Amino acid sequence: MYRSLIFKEWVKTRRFILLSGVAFAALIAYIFLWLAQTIGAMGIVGLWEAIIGKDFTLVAPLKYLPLAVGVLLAAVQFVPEMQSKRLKLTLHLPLGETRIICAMLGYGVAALLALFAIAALALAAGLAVRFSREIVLSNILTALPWLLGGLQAYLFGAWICLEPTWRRRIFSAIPAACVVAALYGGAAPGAYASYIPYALIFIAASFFFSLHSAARFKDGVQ
Amino acid sequence: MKHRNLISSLIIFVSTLAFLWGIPALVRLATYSAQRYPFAYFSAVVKQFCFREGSGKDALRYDATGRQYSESEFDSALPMLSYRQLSVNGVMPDSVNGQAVTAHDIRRSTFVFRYAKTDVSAPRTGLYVLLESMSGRVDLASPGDAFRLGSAVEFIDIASNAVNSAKSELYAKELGKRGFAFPAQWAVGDFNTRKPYDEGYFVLDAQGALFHMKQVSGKPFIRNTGAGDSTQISHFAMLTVADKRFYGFVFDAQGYMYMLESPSYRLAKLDMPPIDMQADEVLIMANMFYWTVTVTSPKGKTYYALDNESPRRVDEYAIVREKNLWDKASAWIFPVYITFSDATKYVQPKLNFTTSAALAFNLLLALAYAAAVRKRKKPAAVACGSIYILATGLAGLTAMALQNFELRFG
Repeated sequence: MYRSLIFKEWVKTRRFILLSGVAFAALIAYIFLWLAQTIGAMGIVGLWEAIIGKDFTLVAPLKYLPLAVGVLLAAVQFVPEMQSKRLKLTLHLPLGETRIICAMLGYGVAALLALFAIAALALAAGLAVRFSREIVLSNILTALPWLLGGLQAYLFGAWICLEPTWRRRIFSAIPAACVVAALYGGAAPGAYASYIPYALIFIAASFFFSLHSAARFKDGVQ
Repeated sequence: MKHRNLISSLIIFVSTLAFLWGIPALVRLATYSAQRYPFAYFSAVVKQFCFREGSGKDALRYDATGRQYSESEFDSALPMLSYRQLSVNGVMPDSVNGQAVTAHDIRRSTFVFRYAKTDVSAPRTGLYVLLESMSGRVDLASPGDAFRLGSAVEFIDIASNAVNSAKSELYAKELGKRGFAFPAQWAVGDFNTRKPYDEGYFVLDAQGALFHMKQVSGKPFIRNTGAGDSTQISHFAMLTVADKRFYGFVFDAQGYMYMLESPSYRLAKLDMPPIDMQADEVLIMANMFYWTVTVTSPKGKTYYALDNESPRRVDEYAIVREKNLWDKASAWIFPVYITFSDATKYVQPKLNFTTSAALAFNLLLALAYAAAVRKRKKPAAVACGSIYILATGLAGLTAMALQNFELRFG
């Protein structure tokens, strides 16, 4: 049953996941091309010194892509479920609503984790050619809250999409926006290092929010 | 669905945390106004603080006794600050304070130093650039390598991104010979090449000893300054001054400031109270006679005049910060709220507590809530909701109102 459920999610989202992969690949290619041009303009020594002395970030163009991917994946995965109340059919599968929703969310989280991990590894591997491990780590730490922001946005997006009433969707979006916005403050590279555990707690907690929306849907709340 | 009530509570709790930050942040944005303090400078002529509020022709200029000055009188009272204007006007005095002065003397002995609370706690890459301090050239040049200093010292050739083993060994050997204890706690330097000279880095070793590390004619220059023997050093701020009188300022664990003199490494304590390094900011404007030290704290601004030679305190002046609308509003509306710390460059949530008076506001909200829902809810649910609002105030009430359900346990 789980395999069928995951396959259903895959069919719904495969085009979007492929598109997201292409978007990440294009953006990472852009970052490397931009770096090559910057090195050409100011020299590799000048660039290192700007990174060490002036908090110059190499991964800034990546900032909002994980957020957009997270929100859109939630929409691609769950908006069709809410159209014509298809979720009702899904929830009638012989698994129990909690397991069904958790499997659907687990699929989405796993897809995002795989996408973000590949992107982070590709970035790290590319940067490690010209930069020391400290600079690579600092930039990955800079991108980490943005990647977590993508996960957080996906889980909040699922919560809001599965909610049956528009009024509650809008009301749920307000605290969700606050929690996500906290990950996007302008800060020095690596400044979010000590906030990561809090972000992970919020992500873990919000995984279960969609269950509440699904239960309200099953109750027939209009 | 199992645990439905638990998930409802979790949603309210997470929403409450979000609103404990979001609502006060919006209210602060609407109500906070930064206090404007006058610019202050200690006069070597009238021997007291002179202040300027505003700018241009309409600026108010006065001294600590309340005597008001015209623009030209103010320039004359502060020749160390206005020497360029006085020179242009042809009225620059030949001597000040019984001492002959020239524009060159003033420029050479003048410096400005700033300490911000975010200087202490900020993310660092752990990489440093060590310039050649005696290259034989007029301009300082970039060395083309960087070094990491943690449990060992390693120089990395930037072009090849590979460790330069020979240079690393040379420095490791010299540091070991001078008694440096790894791992280093921090290193402070300034590798900006647009300055007259370079003094490398000051490094705090694992045992709290402050070492001076620089490169002289391609060779390592490592010295234990001895400053760590008498003082528990917390922070060092390097400063390049034209007369090479000192290397920078040492801050001890209590927040006292010291000048680290050059080349003796002697610590000269600034005759002023300790600062709160997590909350205060310091501005020093120094000339050949006096230093005007401005300490800005959450409570206000205190100006100290220190004698340039000693540095002994000769005068001080304080302005207490007036409460703005945010201070008054938060004291009544938010007994507790979350901010992302502004004392460090790290992003960390910080719980702020205001006054117990704000608890009265929470009590009012809790009573209003109980009165509004008592006919529709069970007494246990009303009690739970009221207690939650009493503890979390406006944020908790907003979270509950938006989610439109009650805290239900069990």
